[in-house]
Amino acid sequence: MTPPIAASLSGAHLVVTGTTGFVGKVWLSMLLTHVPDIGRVTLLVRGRRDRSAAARMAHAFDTCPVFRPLRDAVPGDLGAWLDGRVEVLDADITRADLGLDDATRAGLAASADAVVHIAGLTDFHPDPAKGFPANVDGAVHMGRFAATLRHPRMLHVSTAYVAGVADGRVEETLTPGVSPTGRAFDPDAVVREIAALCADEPDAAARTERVGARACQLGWPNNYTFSKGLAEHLLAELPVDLCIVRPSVVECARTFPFPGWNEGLNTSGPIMAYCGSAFRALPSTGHHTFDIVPVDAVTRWMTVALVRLLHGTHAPVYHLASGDVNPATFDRIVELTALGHRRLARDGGSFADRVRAHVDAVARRHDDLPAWRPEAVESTLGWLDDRLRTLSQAGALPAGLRESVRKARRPVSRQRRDLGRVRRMLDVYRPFIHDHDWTFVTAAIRDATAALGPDDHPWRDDLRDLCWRSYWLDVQVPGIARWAFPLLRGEPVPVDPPSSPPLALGRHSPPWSEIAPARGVA
Amino acid sequence: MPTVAWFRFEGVIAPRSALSCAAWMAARHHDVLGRLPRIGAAVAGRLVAGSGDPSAALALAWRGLRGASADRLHVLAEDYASDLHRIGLNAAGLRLLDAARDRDLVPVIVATHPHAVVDGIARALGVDHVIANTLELDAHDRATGRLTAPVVTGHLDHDGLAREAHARGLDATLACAYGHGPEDIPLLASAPRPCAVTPHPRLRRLAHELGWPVVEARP
Repeated sequence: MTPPIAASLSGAHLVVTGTTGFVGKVWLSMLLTHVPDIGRVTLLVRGRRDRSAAARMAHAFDTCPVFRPLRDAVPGDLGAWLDGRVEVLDADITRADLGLDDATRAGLAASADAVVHIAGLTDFHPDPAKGFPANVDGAVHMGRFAATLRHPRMLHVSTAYVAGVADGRVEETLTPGVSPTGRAFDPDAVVREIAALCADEPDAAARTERVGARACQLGWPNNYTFSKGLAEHLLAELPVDLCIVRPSVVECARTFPFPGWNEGLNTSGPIMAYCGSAFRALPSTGHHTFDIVPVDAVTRWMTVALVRLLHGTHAPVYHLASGDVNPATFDRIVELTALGHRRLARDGGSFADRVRAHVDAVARRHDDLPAWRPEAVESTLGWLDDRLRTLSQAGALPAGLRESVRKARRPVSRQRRDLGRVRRMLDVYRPFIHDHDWTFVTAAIRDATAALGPDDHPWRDDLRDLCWRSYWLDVQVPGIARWAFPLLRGEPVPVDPPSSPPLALGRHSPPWSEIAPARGVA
Repeated sequence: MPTVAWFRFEGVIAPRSALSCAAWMAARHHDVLGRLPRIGAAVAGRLVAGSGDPSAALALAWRGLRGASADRLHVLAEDYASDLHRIGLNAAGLRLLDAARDRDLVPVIVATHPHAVVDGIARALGVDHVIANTLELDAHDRATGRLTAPVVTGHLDHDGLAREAHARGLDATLACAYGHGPEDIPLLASAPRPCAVTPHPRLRRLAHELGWPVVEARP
């Protein structure tokens, strides 16, 4: 039996990272909405030059649509309500001291029941000088901090794709010091090696490629999975009760905060945009599983895993995925995306959108791609761009003609640049949408959810009953069109109007350092 | 036992035939290059229908959807139904539907369209009973291009209607029937109280000969 969720979290004190990101915000909103008598949630947030950590979170609570259920559930002064439960600290988890003074860290350690580490950089192929401090150092620093808690517990959000090249059926296990290729390796030595490489190589692109090559040697397809994988291995060495949750591709919410909610550019946003572009063939393997999981399922399951961690009945690893119980193939998702684009075009698309919508995108393997594909078009545009550049610099031409050539070259150069971005995106996605086929076993979370009590329905989620057709067409496509496509067009995404006066945090803050530690969980 | 009122979907409720639907869906098949012959199959179906063999016409028309996924069939059917709503359902048919309910008759829609198209419209109209066709799917959830048996052609005779009514707990002995085209003649002839709705010339002639009431659409 999974202990009752609300009762287990009532009065508990959690130290949380990553609540400015997509998953973190949904998890926090769900937690505060459904467990209003949570003891205390300490959010470690990095401040910005123009905005403190507290101001960032206050702005999010005030205007981000993800907090609508919370705003609806709290009558009256939300700021005062939050001040009684939420504490925002300006922190930097890439630093060993988390950017906090000793007294603050000690105070948190004396009171907190668990660390929930959600923060991470989710770029697929980040510059290691940025990605590794965020994903490896950040996790290790939070792990070391968790080890100082009275009850050293840590829920760590990783990714299912740490499985790397070991595709096929992936069990919910972690064997510290064994890479996805099955070979033993020393995670600490690899971290030192990467740090040295980053220090030696001043060029970001070059170090990204060199670290990427090292990732491939160890069996991780890119720097993102490499950094998340390393973090898991390093955390496993720490004296902390560790629970790792590994979501697959996190996409639009099914129900919470409302159907279709999404934030930022996640995996399928660019893929869906590509399927609505002039290119009709997505380089992917049609029969492979595209393992998608709605964000609210992830956050429900995270909370279930957290409660089991608090009671010491957790599994070491939980896959949060759909593919083993309700797989959707790339063939199916690409076709549903094409049908979704058809509807978007019908409901107000341009003439070009309508024409494109009548020529459906399909999944095609690389060796079966048509001539009209990004790299071929980019190459042709590159040739044209180079000729136009030469012509625009030719002294033999009259100045007026040179200027005309320069003007004609601008759109060609822009298209070439855009296509380069698309090609690089497809290269980065290739291991996940073309080369490998994973089936993540989700038995642990299904067992934990099945053992929930009757009062814990807000935390129950079962993707076996998910209809991909209605999810994709009624939730995902409209959600991505509303919350992600504007970002691809360089436009702002809609936010809710701020309250008047704008919400501020810390005005009614209880003197956390003076009050007794929260009740906690034994 | 409540009394049934048979309403033909094609012509009485909806302004388009099932063969138009087949052509519309074939024009949106995922096989872009194969769309033309698929539309051709639906057009051929229309020609065959003109020669008086409705089941052969339907079989030919739906052939064009062979290979389409269940997702595509479902989505296109929804979109087609929404198009029907947009262009407008037959006002005369809808008035008769309301009038039948006022007389405590239970409407049953009889359609040669697939269930996927008709069911949503029936729900929107508050009609619980639909007799329609179902596109057959193979083990991979792709259309075989055939309809599952029994195929509804519109040529429902007295025994067929009585069976359908009985299966729904309805009484057909005093049933009303509303039809529009010549293919509805068996249905109308089998019902004790037939009515032709903005009828096709052939049905109009017969209705006049047999003294069946004729309802015209108001301009």
